[in-house]
Amino acid sequence: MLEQIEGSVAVARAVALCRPEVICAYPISPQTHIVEGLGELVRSGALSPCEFINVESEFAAMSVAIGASAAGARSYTATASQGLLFMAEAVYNASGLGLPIVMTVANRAIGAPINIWNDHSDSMSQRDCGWLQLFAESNQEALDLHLQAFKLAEELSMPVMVCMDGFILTHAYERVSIPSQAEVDAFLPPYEPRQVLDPNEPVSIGAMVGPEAFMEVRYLAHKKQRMALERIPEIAAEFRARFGRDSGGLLHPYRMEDAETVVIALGSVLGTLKDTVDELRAAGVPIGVLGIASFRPFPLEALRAALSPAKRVVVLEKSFSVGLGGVVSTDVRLAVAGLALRGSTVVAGLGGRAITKDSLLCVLARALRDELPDLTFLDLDQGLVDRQLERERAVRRSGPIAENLLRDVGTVASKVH
Amino acid sequence: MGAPLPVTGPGAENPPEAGDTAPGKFYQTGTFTVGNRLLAPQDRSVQSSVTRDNSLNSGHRACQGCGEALGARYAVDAAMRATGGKLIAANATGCLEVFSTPYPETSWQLPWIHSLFGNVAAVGTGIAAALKVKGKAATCA
Repeated sequence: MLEQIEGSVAVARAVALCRPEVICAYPISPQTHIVEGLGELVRSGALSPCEFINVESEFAAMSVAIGASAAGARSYTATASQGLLFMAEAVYNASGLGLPIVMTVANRAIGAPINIWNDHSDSMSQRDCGWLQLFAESNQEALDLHLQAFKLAEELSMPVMVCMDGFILTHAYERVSIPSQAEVDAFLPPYEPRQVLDPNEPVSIGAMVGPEAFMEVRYLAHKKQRMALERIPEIAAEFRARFGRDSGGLLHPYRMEDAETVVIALGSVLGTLKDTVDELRAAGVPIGVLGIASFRPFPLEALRAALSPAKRVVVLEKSFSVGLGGVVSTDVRLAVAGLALRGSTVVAGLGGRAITKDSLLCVLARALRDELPDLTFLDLDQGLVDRQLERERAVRRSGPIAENLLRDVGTVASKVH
Repeated sequence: MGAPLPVTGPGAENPPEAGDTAPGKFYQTGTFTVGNRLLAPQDRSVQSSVTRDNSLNSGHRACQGCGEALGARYAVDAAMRATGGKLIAANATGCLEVFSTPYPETSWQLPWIHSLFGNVAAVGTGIAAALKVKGKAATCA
């Protein structure tokens, strides 16, 4: 059924259709509306049987999910930003134990300076935690990915993170198609745990493993993610056959035919990029877009195959490894090692700065002229940076950086671009 | 105290008999604790019974005379008795978790999970929630 609803509500409805048995969450912007929506569905009895557990922190939220999943319940939680960092120890634990928890991350910047707006710093910080990480491009895909995430997680007995851009998706009201309960039940079978805490058949879960098998346990997690590289496209195909639309998969290619220049990105910015590329294509520029839908497992081979015919690649990313540069770019570089490709990283949209078509056209024009440096920060206010550096040269006690910069900018929160 | 002390056999398959004065060893399984052995049979605690649950079984790596091992077994055995064996344990990171389990061995005779140092109550909450939603009595230690 088509409905015009908020992205968070769409995700809450999707999760409810997956019949989770235990939901535990601590509210944090911009995730809050998702768990509020689920809380209402549990309270009204629309989602039953299901236990909604209010917890005292994100660390407890993931820990409740661990206990519930190990006791055989389909378990779900959601978080963002500082919340994801606060639960980090338990995030690693859930994947190490091989518990198929599904978690939504409403992507948001990490402080300090504290900032509630969207970028990908939070989930990228958990890049190596062992969870699968799927990125949604639209509200419809966010909804659809949750159905696929439970299926994938439970088949592999590995946890899956569904990442969706905070505010841009979570708070946007868009038209989404909501499947029926019968359709979802036919797609997602009941949860059959591989390991369960059962008094009739006692097992010990989470015991110590020494050097004799630790590496093999870790390797098996990697092996399962590699298996997911096969299953993700298959599940997307099955989803398409049942629900009639493309969602998920490893990559989202757009106008890649004969593309000499390819722009890589993740999440909702792909919409803006497609519009930009349409304009460039109309002007005769052979350029395409390649969205990465599955960031973990990282589709090295598929990416290499898609990029092989190209001449240059620009990675546009909302994440940043301080002291190095791009996070996604580093993985892309591994995928194209040895290919004759000119590559550049454009870090954009940090802390919610708008990524506009004008700015993209500008930066892509430089890329097409091969004038784009290895690392660019889209719409960086160099003057603002220089003034702070000058202050730090002039006086030892130069004060808090963020305050100085905002004094220079003038009005606080006067613009996002 | 002049009468010879009753001495236990090594296991439940070989229960001691009243008045047995044969030399014995202090195995944890099936043994009477020293304090209980001094009491009349009707006054002995559950812990001195050869039919006790022995939830934390012998063979673990605790030091001799470890109070934590004894305390854990007493507490979990009592809980096992109270719940008719329908018990799940969540264990924080620590000596007990380490000495009782290195894979592939485990001393735990009940379903047991170790997650992290600081989250055992929350893990227990999750287990209880799962049992509740699945229509089973929520019992967790």
